[in-house]
Amino acid sequence: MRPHAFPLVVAATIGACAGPRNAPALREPTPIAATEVAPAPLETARGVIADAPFRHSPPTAGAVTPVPTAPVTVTRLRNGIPVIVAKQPSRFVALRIISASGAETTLQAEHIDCLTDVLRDDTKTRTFAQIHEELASFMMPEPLIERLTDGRMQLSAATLAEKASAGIDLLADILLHPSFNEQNFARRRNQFANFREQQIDDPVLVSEHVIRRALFGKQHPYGLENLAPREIRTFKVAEVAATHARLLNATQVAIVVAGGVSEPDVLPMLERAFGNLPRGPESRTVTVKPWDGPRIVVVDKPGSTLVRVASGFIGPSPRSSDFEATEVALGALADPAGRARTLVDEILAGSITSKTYSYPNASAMIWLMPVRPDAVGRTLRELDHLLVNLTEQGLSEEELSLARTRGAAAIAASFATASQAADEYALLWRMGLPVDDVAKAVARYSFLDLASVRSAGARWLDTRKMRVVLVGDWDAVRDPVTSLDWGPVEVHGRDGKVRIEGPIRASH
Amino acid sequence: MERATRVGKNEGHCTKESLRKAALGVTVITALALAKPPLAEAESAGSNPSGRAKAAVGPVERTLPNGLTVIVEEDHRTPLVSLALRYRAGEANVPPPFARGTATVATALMVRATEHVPEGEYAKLLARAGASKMESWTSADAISFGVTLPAEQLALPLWLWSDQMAFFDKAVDDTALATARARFREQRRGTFAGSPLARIHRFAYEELYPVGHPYHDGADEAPEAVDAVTREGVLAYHERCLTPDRAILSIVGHVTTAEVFEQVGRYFGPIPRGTTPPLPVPEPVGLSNEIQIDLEANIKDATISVFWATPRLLTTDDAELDVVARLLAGQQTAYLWWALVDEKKVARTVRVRQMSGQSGSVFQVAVEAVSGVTAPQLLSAFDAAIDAVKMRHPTPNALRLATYELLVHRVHALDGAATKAYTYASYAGLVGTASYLLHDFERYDHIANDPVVDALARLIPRDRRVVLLVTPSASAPPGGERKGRRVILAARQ
Repeated sequence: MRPHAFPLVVAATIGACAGPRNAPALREPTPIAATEVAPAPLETARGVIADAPFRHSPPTAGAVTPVPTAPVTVTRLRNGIPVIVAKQPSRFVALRIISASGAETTLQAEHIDCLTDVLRDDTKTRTFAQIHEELASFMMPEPLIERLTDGRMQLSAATLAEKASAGIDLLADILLHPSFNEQNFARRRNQFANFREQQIDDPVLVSEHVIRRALFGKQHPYGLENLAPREIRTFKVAEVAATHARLLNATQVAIVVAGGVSEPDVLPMLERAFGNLPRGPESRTVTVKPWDGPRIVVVDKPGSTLVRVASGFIGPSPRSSDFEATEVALGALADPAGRARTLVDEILAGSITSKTYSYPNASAMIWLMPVRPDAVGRTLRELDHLLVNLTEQGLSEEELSLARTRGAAAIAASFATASQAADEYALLWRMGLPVDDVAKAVARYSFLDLASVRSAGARWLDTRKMRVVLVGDWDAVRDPVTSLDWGPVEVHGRDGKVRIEGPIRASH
Repeated sequence: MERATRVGKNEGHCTKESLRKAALGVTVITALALAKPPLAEAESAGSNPSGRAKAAVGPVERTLPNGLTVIVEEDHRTPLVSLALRYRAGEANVPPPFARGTATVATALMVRATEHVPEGEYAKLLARAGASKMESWTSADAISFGVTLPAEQLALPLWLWSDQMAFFDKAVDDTALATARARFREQRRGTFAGSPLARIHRFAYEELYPVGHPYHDGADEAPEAVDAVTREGVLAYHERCLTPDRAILSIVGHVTTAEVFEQVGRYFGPIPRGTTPPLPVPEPVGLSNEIQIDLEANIKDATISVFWATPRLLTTDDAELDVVARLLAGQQTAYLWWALVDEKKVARTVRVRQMSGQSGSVFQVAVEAVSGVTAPQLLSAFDAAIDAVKMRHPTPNALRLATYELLVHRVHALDGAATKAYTYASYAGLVGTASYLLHDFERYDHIANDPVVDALARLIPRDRRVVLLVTPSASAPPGGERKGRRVILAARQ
């Protein structure tokens, strides 16, 4: 048996390193002196500790020292593909390649999901093994290819800056020239169907998915319902290949590059890799109107001892002047140390997660909560109470001040790494916003006032517009839910059938 | 020496040199990633009148006279600073007879109020200062706090955290304790109810680790167990474990090293060191037989989970098992997945992982059956697949890709100051220096030339494991229910 003693292994590991990687022995930490002498000793459990005057109030902020930032540029390849380049001091380069929006029906959405798996296999000129050899040699993680909720497909990748050129060539090959090998396709399709089978049993995912359908309607591109895994198993490779061709055209694709590469350096690389992509049709504008289905949707999971509650609203578009005000209002409502304290401390079986899904012409603003079945009625009444209170009285000065700072700080922190910056600029492009909207958004937060938050709250967070999804045992929650008198309830049975229960008359 | 001998046994498959080359790419590139980007220095040097421009290379480590380890790395890419405070004491260090959950409740109370920070002000003060990330978490081995905020607000978390360390006890009253317990209990209840298999780790850990080992009852306690957490326990844990000599403060961002040391000395310097010696590191454990446990859970199809107690975090064997997990069910190589999902078609998914811990690690294989396959059938198929895997010797390239797959995300994550701060604090807590980071990657140089065969024979043998056979049952309680247990003597296999 080999020794596993921790210091021995550390020492052996360091000792075994030779040549340029030979590291110094573990350093002895250097003591530094404490700078404060206790002026007023205080007895505590641990002994005598200095209760100095500076401990009695929070410290004031130091001087601000600005950090210079390189400008973000927007240019186009010869075939019209827009390229956003945000140079940052980093050893890495992060890329986002955004496709056209191509999921207007459930079937199309599932084809895109299947395609994202298929694109992980070989290309017309590279085997799977070759691709991963190259990824490893460029120190690139396997690219993440996913369907976004607005129906676009996005490839996210990162490479060492000095390997950017070869990395971009590889990514273009993966994205543009898949082999669509029949055997690989069958394997990926099977994996995808298995994955869906797991997903449809996950109550959190189900609640998140169904709340968007409850807001927009299952025929709307933002509220599409997933197919049963059985149907996925019938997909044909030609259908998925056609989806691929539809999504990747120069008219609707965009590329974002962030990190340790400049625009003059990266443009020739992108031109070589994506410059020959042909143009395609213009994108269609998606209009949004609230779905007029029941306010409460239940996904019945008999025997569940916990109910996953998702509640949400159709919110303003990120391009709307109401967007930040509505987010601030919703954030204040979900604050566990503030308005949501009763909810979190006394009612819920866990914490509240608030999420905003952004679309070009709308947003979905959602709360997710775990609740015991016996607390479902109280939870929904408390939500209703919080919303009525907000729309009638608005926020306090303190809440607004806190929310403004939080919003601006979140924006600042979103650009800390190349990868984060790439994500943010990709989102701006998808929303149809200019790259300088970052600075404007910070300013918009600072200009928010009580009246604007209150009026935005009243417009968008009206309790009568709230939709609620409950994933849990319907028998256990039927009485408290129907006694709310929020109108009929749409119940999705375990057998897959949908029925309407409860009173036909709605009080609101 | 033993390591070198073992590497030389199967030269036909994989040489020491090829393995070293495989890992070399990772370590060299890690060094590159950790080095300051030239642009950062150039740009900041030309534009920063405050003298912050000249960035130190790599982390600077010092220790206050009271034992607090302080790590600083200047990173002037953004106007932010990330801080991480890690105490080398988690749930496993709660002194007897106090209940498990004490460390978690103590952590919640520390961010709720301290003597100079009124209730609820911790989060509000940080939010008002522009903090974008506020985290606190508890594990068996450590508790940690983290925050990222504008660099000019550096003093605020130092003030808050030093108050937590030195002025905690008077803020702990019965109301606060009851609220923290209730929230924690409901969170656990939510975890249990949300996952039909939430308790399986508890069943396994009870078998893997003997009574008295810090991990024996450390996993997935029942929600009601939280009610046993008392004020006395919380204060005893704080008094014993949350002392400067058990803490590491790591700061990465738009700061100057001298300024940080001055501020840290001001806030933490006067706090006296602890008086209780740390608990001894427990001896490595191992089973002498195979233990099979029958469970029922409210799941659709049968599953099996197989566990081994394995060498602790940061050992070379720990690294080897990391790689073995990737070879069995990774992205590029997946011997077990290929056998059970693609070839025999008895499983829907296969997950393999080495869960590394300070007082011991656990290697886990979890296999989910397709409809109609029972747990015992799945176990038979699994054992047959493992026998076949012994014949599939990984090529040097497969090893290289498995190592790359394992480490590449860790390397990229180091681009973020918050990740760096947390990583430095972790290494300093575990081995005494943040600079261990590179050596950690170098562990992968020393993996056996045929790690799967070596691991199966030496680290994860069939006759020294815990097998959980989970059968679907709609009437099973949340988290799963234990129905039977049998010991299969090693000699009979």
